[in-house]
Amino acid sequence: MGQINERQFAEVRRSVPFFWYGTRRGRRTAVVLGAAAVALGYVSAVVCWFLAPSDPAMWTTFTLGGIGLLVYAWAYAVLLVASGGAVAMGENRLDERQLAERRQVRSLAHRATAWLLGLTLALTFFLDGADHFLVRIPTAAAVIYVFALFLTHLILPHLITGWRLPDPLAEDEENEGPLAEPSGNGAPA
Amino acid sequence: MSAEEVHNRISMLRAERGVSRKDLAAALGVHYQTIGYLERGEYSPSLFLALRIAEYFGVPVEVVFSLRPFPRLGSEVVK
Repeated sequence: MGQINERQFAEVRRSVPFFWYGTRRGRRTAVVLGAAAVALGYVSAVVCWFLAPSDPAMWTTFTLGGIGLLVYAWAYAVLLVASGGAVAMGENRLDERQLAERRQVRSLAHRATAWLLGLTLALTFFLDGADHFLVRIPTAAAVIYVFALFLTHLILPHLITGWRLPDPLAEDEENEGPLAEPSGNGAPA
Repeated sequence: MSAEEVHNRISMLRAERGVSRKDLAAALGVHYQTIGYLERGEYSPSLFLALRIAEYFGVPVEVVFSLRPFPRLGSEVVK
């Protein structure tokens, strides 16, 4: 996936109120809502599994997908700003502490998505064996499940970072305040 | 003592010289929150960054960093 630069980061930061990325309560709320938005994708896949193809399945998917994507985009923006771009910016724009944090978070997220893929594989084998080696799944359910998995893969490092971040110190808050001029990252280019 | 705990006097040196976290970060080329993490002991710097911090304050590296807690100011006088 593409990495963002300082200008893009500053633009996103301007659009997010300080409360959401600057306080632990705001960040953790964004993490919970981001996780809930991703969960809506899995719910939608389950609904499609049992009901598709049908109108209820279609409308449920559109409704959950629409709400989920809106919340997802908002939570993604909040958590992107909260981490100071550590997860999404290019390596040459980060300092050694941010790089170490990024490596640790990505490692955790990698492990979590590996578990999810493993669970998917186990579920596939289970269904395969239970139904005479023939699994009939509505295409919509498969597509939405893979899409939800993709969104999980994208947001998981941000969720982990957002949950773990401590509140900035008083002097940092002055710098991070909503009226403060975004100053980029300070790291050498 | 934690195996990887490194104590430092960055906040003291910064206060003594009247340098803000943001100014120090800009001089070192790091994110200003990294200075906060260093001061709180939540991040141990690389040797390169430790040497640059010491160089910035114009003191030997062992004046800024130590594996043992620094004695509190005035503790020698009290003894």
